[in-house]
Amino acid sequence: MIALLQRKPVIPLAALLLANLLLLSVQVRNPENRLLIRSWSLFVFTPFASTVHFVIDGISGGVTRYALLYRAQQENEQLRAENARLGVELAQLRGIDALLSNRVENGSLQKRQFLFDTYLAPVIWKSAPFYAHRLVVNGGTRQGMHKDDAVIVPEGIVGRVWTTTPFTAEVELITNDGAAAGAMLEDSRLQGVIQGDGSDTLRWDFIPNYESVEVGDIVYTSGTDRMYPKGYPIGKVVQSQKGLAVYRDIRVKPFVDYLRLEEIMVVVSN
Amino acid sequence: MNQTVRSFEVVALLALTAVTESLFANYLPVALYLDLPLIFTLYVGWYSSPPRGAVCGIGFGLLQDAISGIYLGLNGLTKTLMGFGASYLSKWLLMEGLVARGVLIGVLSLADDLMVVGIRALLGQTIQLEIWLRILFGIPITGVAGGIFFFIYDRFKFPEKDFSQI
Repeated sequence: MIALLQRKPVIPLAALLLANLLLLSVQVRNPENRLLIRSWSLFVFTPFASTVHFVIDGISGGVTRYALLYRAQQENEQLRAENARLGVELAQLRGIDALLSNRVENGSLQKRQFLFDTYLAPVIWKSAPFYAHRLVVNGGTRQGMHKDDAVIVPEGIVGRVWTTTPFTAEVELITNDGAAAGAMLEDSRLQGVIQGDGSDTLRWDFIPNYESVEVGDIVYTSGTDRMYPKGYPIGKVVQSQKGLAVYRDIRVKPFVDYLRLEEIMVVVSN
Repeated sequence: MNQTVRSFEVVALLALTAVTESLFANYLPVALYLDLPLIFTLYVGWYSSPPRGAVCGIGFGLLQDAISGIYLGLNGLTKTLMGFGASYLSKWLLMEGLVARGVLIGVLSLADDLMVVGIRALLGQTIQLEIWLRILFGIPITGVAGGIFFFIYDRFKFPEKDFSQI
C-alpha cells in the first residue's frame, strides 16, 4: 500500500485535498444559508443523476419507440380510429342539433336513436369512376360488417356495404347509379329520396314543385331508409328548379370527396 | 546522515508552530506577517517524499487555521499543495544558496497566499485591504526568514564535514 502511494503520490494528494474541501464545506454556508457541502453535493450529483436518467430514459425510450414500434403502430391505428369516430360523432351531433333545434321536447329521448358504433376500415381498392362507384375496404364479417351497413366518414355519408367476405367488404358509393338514401332538409324538415346516377352529384327526388328548396340548403339523412343513421350530413343543394311534372329537379353536391377517400367508417350497429 | 526529516522533528516543528502562532496571534499580531507554518511545510516537504510532504503540509495548515480562527482547511488545502510541491521541487532544483532559497520561499509564499485569497473569494468572502497588505509584506519577510531557517537548520542537521585533517 505504502509502495503504491510512493509510486502514485497523486492519490494521497487528491485524498488530502478532498479532505480539506470537505472540511471547508461543512463549515461554510452559502448566501441561502445552506452548507456548502449540500450545495456542492447537489452540484456534483445533479449531472450524474441527470446523466443516469438520460441514459435510462434513452434506453427505455429507444426500446419503446423503436424496438417495440409495433405498439406505436397499434396505438396510432387506435388513435386514428378514435379520431375518426369522434369526427363522426361530432358531425352527427351537429346534424342532430340542427334537426332538433326546434324540437326540444323529448330531445334526449330522440337523440338516443342516433347513437351507433363504427368500425374504421382503410380503403384498399377503388373502381374506376366511369365504370362503377364502388370501393373495397379492409374489413369484413370478422369485423362485424354486414350487407347494407351504412358507410360514412366525418364529412358525410359514403354509401353502403354491398357485399362482404370475412376480411373485406365492397362498398357501393351513394353516387353509384341506383344507390339511394332517405334525406331531409335541415329547416323545413322536407323529406325525399336522394339517389345516385353515376355522376358526381345526387338527385333528390319526390320533392313537390310547390316546396321551397334553395341552393345552399343542407341535406341530412332522414333515417327512413333504416340504413343510414338519422341526422347525418349528405351534401348541399347546388341546383333547385321546378320540374316538368310534379316534382322539382334538385341536385345535391355530396360533402364527401369520393376520389380521395382513404378510410371509411362502417356503422356496425344501430 | 540521511537527508530526511524524521517524524519527531515534524512533531517538534508542529509544536513550535502551535506555540509561536498562539503567541503571535495573542501578543504580537504583526508577527503573523511571517508565515512560519509555510516555512516548516516547505522544509519538511523539501526533505520528504511527496505524500509525506502533503501529509505534513495538511498538519501545519490545519494547525494554522485552528489558531487563526478561520475556516479549517483553508490553509490546510494550500499547505498540502505546498508540501507536495516542495518535495518535487527539491528533485528538480538545486537550491543551496541562501538567496536562492529565500527567493524561492518568497515566490511560494506568494503562491500560497494567492491560493488562500482565491479560496476565500470562492467562498464568497470579501478580500479586504489588510489581506493584500499582509501578502505584500509577508512575502519578503517569509522569504528572508525561510532562507535563514533553511540555512541554520541545515547547518545544525547536516553539518559540513571537515576533510582537511585527513
